[in-house]
Amino acid sequence: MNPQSNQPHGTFCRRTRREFFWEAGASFTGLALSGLLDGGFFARQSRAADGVTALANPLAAKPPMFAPKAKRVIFLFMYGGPSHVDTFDYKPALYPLDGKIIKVKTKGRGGERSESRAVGPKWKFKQYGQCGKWVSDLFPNIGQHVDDIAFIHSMTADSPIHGSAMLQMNSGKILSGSPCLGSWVNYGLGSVNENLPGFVVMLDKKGGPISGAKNWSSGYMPATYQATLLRSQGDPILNLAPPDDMPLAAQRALLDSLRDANTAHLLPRGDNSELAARIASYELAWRMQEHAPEAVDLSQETAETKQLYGLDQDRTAHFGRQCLLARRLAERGVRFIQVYSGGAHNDDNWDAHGDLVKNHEFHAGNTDRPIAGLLTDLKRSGLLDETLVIWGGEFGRQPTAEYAKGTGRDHNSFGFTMWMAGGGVKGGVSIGETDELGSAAIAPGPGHGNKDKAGFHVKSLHATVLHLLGLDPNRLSYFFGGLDQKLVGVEHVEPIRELLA
Amino acid sequence: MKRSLLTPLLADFDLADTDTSCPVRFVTTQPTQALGMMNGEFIQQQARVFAERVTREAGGPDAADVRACVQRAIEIALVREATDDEISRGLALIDKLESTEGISPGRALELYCLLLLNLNEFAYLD
Repeated sequence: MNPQSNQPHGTFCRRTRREFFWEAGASFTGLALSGLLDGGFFARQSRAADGVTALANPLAAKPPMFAPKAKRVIFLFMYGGPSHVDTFDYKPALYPLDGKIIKVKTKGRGGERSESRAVGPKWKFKQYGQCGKWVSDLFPNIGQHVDDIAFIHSMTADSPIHGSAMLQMNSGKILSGSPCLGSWVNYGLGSVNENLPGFVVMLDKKGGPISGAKNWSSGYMPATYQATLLRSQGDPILNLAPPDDMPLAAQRALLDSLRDANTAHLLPRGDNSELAARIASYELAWRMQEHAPEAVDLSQETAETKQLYGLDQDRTAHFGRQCLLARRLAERGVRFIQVYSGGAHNDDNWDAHGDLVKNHEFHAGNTDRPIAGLLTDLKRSGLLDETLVIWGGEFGRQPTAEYAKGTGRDHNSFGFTMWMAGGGVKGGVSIGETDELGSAAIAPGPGHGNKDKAGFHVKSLHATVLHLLGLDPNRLSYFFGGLDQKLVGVEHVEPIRELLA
Repeated sequence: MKRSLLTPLLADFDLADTDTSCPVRFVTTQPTQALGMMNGEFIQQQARVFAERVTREAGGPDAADVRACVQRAIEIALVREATDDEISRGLALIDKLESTEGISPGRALELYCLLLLNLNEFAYLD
């Protein structure tokens, strides 16, 4: 609560000039804050498992700023950049151009070009649902859910390069060091389940995305807000059970003694949030040891449910297991769950530079049924009403080929598609547009996180997520480096109103 | 070690990406790391080896020498002299493990060594 508590060493009296003025001016705010905290703050302290020692839980649940539509998020991250014109953004005009050199401005991994060879969409599109949404044959199962989905067709990002675009989609900034969306959500709302981490990430079996842990780091926020990795094969969390010659009661005695020693060590180093986080992490580990095995025990699910998620087939079993785990965690109050489709490099993710057909058939085929299963399951259990599901990658792909031969498309951050479903999202709508080739956003006009470009900037998406969770994206801030840092940056950003139910 | 197969223990601690250069490492703190540092095979083995050394250098874990063991263990782990408070805390834990939890003296010393390897003071430099 005290903004001084996370200041770095090495500043004069632990203050910079800017912080001094900020604090001098903020004393009234400080008073108001202590008043606000009066009722709830101590109630939010929890007890360590010894039942005696008060333990401040930095992840204790906090009330939202206004009534939320969603209470938790499942972000299905299609790492590598799925091609929008081959999935959800239907471009009939692009088919007949296949193989022709066309004049279109593009900027991707291969640099800037003004003309290239067009690649027609490689799949047929069909209309689904009452809304008649056009979806490609890559996603016949997700197609069944279009009436619950809001498609955003004119997403834009600042970078057409994986590393920086990944960081932007996850943390709002193209440079590393900032907290991720999941960190902001846990910072703003805390976690309603003290026995599980508030921010969980599951990776593709090929490995993590480029830059690894930076994509789930808490950046300048305390380490408490970073994600916990959950493995989908073998034990989901490593070392969850103590060895036989360390019974639980003995482990508890050891943890109590450890906490006493660490607390004494912390006293003269109170400004080091890493130390406090590490103390808290042992208590969370203790509780996870007890509760996580149940949360991740898929044997409690019926055969029908497992089949719904595609656990019965080799190619969908991995992602299906993760989607099912995501539902179980969502049910138990985990705030932010991120599941990656695609890892490592090249065709191990959606980065189809070479053979688009092979790449997208593979990744879509692995994920279509699990995602549709997740939506079905969330809906029938009533969880979808308060669970926000997000689908998308760090950018899309160009309507043109990157190389002289082949169907591969280069990166496209000037217009791409993401979709949301569930908690507070209007279903069966498509918002924003790219041009007739899908090369760049053309609607809505500038002002949605972009100064002079059309389309919705990543910030608009982030603002929408926070808004749905009952957090004002323009007020949720964290004091760091002399500034009130915000996920959406300095300038005011509106949520995407068209998709709010 | 294969570049594509990361050692789980190191992965828990955000091992640098194996196929790109990594000039700066992030500091992360997670409950899964705490689990690994308590329950993991590697750390349990290190605690055993550590306790063997302490026993060798300071006498056995039996009543007469247990104080010397605790003192020596702190000296080795934290590279400074042990304070009286710390020694009492260590003795209290070992006593509790033996009397209340029925842990053997040798194993109790191992668990105390495990505790030292988990201290913030052991993990972080000032």
